[in-house]
Amino acid sequence: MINSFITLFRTDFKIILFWLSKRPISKIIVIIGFLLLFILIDRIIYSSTFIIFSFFKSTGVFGRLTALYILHTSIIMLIWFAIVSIMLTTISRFLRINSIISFLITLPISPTIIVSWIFFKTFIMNIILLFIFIMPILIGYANVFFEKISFSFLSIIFIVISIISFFTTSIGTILGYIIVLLFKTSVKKSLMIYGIFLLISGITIIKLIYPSNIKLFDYTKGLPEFQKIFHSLPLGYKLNPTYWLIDSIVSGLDMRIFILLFFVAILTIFTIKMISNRFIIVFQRLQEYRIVNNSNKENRIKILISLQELFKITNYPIFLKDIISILRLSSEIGFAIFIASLTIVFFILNFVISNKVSESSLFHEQIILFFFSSFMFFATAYLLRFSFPLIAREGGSAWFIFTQPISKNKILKEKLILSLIISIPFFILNLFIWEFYKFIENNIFFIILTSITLLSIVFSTIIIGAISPNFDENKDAERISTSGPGLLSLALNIIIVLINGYVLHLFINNQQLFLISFLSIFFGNAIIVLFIYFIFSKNNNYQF
Amino acid sequence: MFFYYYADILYMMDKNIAISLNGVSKKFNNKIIIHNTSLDLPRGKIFTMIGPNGAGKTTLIKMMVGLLTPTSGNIKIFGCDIVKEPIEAKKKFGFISDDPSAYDYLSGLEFLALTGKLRGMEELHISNRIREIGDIFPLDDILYQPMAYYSRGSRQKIALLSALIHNPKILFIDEPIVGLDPASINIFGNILLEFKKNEGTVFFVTHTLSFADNFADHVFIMNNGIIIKDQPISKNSLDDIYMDALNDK
Ligand SMILES: Nc1ncnc2c1ncn2[C@@H]1O[C@H](COP(=O)(O)OP(=O)(O)OP(=O)(O)O)[C@@H](O)[C@H]1O
Ligand SMILES: [Mg+2]
Repeated sequence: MINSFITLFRTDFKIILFWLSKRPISKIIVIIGFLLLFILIDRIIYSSTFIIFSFFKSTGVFGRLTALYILHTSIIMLIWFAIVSIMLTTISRFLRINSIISFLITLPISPTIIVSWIFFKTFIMNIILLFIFIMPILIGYANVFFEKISFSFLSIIFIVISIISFFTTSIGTILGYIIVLLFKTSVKKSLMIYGIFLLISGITIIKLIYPSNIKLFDYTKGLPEFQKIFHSLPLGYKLNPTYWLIDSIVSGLDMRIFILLFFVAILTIFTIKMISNRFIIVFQRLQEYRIVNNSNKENRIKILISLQELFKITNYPIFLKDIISILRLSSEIGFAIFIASLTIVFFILNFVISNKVSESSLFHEQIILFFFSSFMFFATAYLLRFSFPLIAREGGSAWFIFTQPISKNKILKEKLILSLIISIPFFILNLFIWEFYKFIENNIFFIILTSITLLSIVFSTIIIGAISPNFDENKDAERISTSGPGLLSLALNIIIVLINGYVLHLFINNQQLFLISFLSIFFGNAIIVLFIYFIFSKNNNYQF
Repeated sequence: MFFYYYADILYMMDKNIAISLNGVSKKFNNKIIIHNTSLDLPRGKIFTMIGPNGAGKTTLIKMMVGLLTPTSGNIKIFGCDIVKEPIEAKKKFGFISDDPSAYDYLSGLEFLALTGKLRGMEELHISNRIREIGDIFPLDDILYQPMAYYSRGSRQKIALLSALIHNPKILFIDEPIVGLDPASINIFGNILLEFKKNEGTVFFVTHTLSFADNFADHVFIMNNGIIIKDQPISKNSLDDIYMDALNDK
């Protein structure tokens, strides 16, 4: 039993080594690239928390409590984020073709082992990501309030993060599994439920964190009143388990977290048991429903005939086929829902907080720039997952598409149109969000400038994805987006956002300069995109 | 000297040469997979290539259809260089891969319509051709279903139809009959014969000697990236030819 468990992990390890052995130098560059990226993210998180906490420390007890509250908020948000992303992983694991699991269930291995193996892999990914995001915040806090970091502090953090990771992996897996079970045959419905869950839970959490009747930054009423308000907030309840976690971090080990440790251990065992119970049956059944199957046969034939007619008259057949694939292979929609809901939740939160902060009219420019870059960050994540792999995904049908008498350019063009269509939600969002920010005067100018930036990101992502596509990984969009070229595309998008952000900064400080800002953003981006296109067109034909 | 040139040019202009390979070789990671291969295949014939697993047959056919670029040498399809003028060259042939699955989410009919469109055909022409070739195999029931539900053999059949839709002059097929039932194999073979009758050229790779024997005119035997035998097929001789060729070596 334990043996086969270890064998599975050892095989994973060998797969990684094999992956490294093919073109090792570029793989190492990819790894270093990701490390640098995470270091950069950590550095930014650390610096901003350090500044914020230092500011609160200077306001005495009020500030200490507020800082505590912020710490608590960020941990709650991360728990939410971890749960919803693990839900998505679980759902899509059941809905996609998974040749490894399909193979494993033909072997005489107990489902408990397969499920535990999957669980622990998810757990490890989860705990690494949690460390990356929580550590800089906690260290920022410790550096401000404790002035030094002790070994016991670090071990408490380790326990706390393990608890959170076990908890979120279990809950996310169970919830994902339940959604899959509820809608055994309808992929669309389960994804819809997932989307609704995401939005409702996200908004509920924002309400919890920031109840509308309370002014968190109001220090005028005196300390006792403030403390009373603080402890009446949902996150300030002393019985709230996450409060125990925070308490352990800020004021030494709280014995109650051992209760939590015990609880998550039971939860983990329960999760594995529950899922392995009917794992094989559920897995097999779901593999049959990957493609949307309309129940009414006559209707289906009618639709198919008209689509077939559409193929004959369209000038964009590849585009049409891709649209059909999005409609019929709805497991792809899951990630789109995920990012869209995340973006919406993030901007509601951002909007609530920044409008409060801006009452003091101190940080306007910072807020705008922060907002701009995070918006572009979400757009980049989305595009990297959806646009970037579009050409590499043709690898599976390369024998067909690349022996047709059409040019690389024609394919690129149709994929570009698709990219533009699937990023419409971001363009629409971009029209509205500036409206929220009451302190921005000429939001039409902002909309114009940011739309150009967005457009430039769309173009650069799809073209870089076409320069040297990773055709071998055509079945796995995530692998394509995290390969070397994917990293390059991410880096380029960051550069584009930085340059555009700089022009925006100039424009904010002198709004007379709209024409100049517009021209420099327009031509700057055009040059970048044309340059990438030049590299694309100079490259040789694809090889298979 | 002059005569030499003249003959050469005449030869190049020869409309009867469908496929011509000139000193083609291919390296993967510095290992030579195809050694300096030259061929001239006239039109109106069916050619087959046989050889052990890993001999390089798929690599060669992929170079012919432009999925791989030769390390050296060139390949011409009716005089069009597949690397330099890929679009012109690709207009002239249809290709079926050894793994013929394409877009799982499209129905067979949609796939055929897509191919027609990518081939630059007019709407009416596509409809007519689909009607003409649609009943080669008894398929109509599954034509409306997503190809994800197709069996191995049905995929092969749809792939053949899509390769035929634009009336190509050449067919390249890597392992044509894998997964086909006996009746379909016969239909498939007869389609090839009819194709040949209309001046078409077929180049296919197979492991089924009897099929090659029945339908091909000429055989190439490849081993370790070298064509070791190249001769016309006379009735029921392929087994011997194959064994002899491999033993001689
Ligand atoms: N992309 C590649 N990179 C490296 N080596 C390759 C690649 N493609 C093929 N090879 C090697 O080239 C050789 C010939 O392969 P090929 O697929 O052409 O054989 P084949 O004759 O079609 O075999 P089969 O009868 O099994 O289909 C094999 O040794 C294979 O390992
Ligand atoms: Mg082969």
